[in-house]
Amino acid sequence: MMKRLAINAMAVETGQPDAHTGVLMNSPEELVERVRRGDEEAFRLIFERYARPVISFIYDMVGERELAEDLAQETFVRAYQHLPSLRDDSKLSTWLFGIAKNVARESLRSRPQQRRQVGIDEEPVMELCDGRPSPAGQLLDKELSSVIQNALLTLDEDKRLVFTLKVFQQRSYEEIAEITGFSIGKLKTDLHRARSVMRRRIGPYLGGEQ
Amino acid sequence: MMRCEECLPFIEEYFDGELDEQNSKRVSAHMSACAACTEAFDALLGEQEIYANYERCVEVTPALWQAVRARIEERTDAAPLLLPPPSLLMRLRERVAHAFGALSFTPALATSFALVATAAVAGMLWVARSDDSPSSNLVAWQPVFDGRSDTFSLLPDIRPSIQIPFDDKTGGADAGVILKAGGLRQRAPQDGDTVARLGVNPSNPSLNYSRKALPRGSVIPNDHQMAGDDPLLSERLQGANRVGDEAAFRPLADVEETEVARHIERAQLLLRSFKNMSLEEGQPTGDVAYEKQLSKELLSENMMLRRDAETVGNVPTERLLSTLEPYLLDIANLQDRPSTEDVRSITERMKKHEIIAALQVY
Repeated sequence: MMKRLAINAMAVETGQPDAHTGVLMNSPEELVERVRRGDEEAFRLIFERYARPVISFIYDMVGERELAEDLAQETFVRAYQHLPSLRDDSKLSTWLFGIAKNVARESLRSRPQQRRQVGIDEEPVMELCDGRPSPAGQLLDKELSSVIQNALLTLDEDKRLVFTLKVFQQRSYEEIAEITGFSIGKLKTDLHRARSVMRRRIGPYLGGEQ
Repeated sequence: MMRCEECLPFIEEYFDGELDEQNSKRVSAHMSACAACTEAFDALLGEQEIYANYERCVEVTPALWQAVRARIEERTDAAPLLLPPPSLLMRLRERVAHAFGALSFTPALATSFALVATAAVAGMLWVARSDDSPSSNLVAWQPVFDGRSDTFSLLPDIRPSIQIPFDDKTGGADAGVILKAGGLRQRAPQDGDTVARLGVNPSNPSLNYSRKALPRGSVIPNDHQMAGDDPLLSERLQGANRVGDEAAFRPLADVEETEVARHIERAQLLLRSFKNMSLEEGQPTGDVAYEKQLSKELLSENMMLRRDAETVGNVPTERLLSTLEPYLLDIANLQDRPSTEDVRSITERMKKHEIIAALQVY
């Protein structure tokens, strides 16, 4: 990705005709307009720009890597199908996350209840990204990541949704309200409660009594 | 001059950068002189730093993009649920052919489209023929923009078409479909109609469904494809089967009432537990660190809920939360091992004002 961006930047600087302008040079409005005109490359750029935050968000909601990848694919397929109906092109990101939210919730509601939540007293199950041995510091980060992931799964859906959108995706309250359909009052309450629960779970890593 | 009780409920909003300018200045000024509130702010900062180290086991690989492409190709090969007008169909064909280079519409596929179109028309005629009978189906669908500036047409080349006026100029009118018993009418949305919003309207993100126009018993198809995957509409229709389904069409105010009820229940449990502490003259009290911590959490929540109740004019709730607040504050401010006199003064007040009974009745 970074190499591609560098190449694209160079192409633009040299003023080459028909230079591929790359991710950074296209606004969401421009990309959406290009997709509407049948430009597959534009949709690929949209994918490159938003795939990581979308899949991260879905992973935080469902807690399983393969499922998150599958649901992320579904999100972008639906986005491609319904892009012509996007009313405000500048809100592409919010719109995409709205679809991702729906896809994640559909999946959660179709799965058995007992698989969805981890009990508050359960030992964290670490989903290791690979089996290679890691330095001690990275082991601690992995353990912390596992604790965070499991703590997220103890939150009910609404609170998990609001917490991930605010804390991990750094969305504004207004954007979260658009994505979720919640009132600002509800999302503030849910966020406050979610923070309290998460604080209790990650307490040992905070280095002091909270 | 701002006090801690006023500052603490604002801390999270201030930290999130969401607090209005006036209150931000007040909070900032207060924190410059208040260690406790600064500590609360720093705690949020510490948590955010922890979360910044969160690593997920997910990657975006070229294989993921290829999988997305394959799914798109697969889906566009099947007959869509909503048939776009022929002109748009031609553009779609060109778009797909250009994008993937391999797909072309075969005669068999064209026949499939025709069959779907016929079924769609039959369905529309059936809906349109039904008058205002309560048992008629309600249908929500995604209109197809027909190129004109102010109307949407559904299947304009197939009669009859239903045109729904849309006012883009005000930015406040809801574009989309009228959900109304008895099928659709070719008219502008009116007061009392229930209008489903299609597409995100950033000027008015919240949805308010009016149930007046929807008689009980009307069936709403739970079909996300027909809802067009609009993030807001899908969410509202998800799980709904009938009008009057309280879970699906619960007004937003009810959600907040549930939050208050949960909060009151937790506060009640805390006060009961505190009241039942055994106090003997001359004997030290137990460790109340847990009650203190819980009380601090409930206090912040209480302030927020009280403010919300005040904002919406819910006087009984606002009064109850105001009555509860001093107890939470006093418990939160106790020493970890408080004196008997300190605990007794709180429990005596609780008994005198019957606060637990008041919470029970809520």
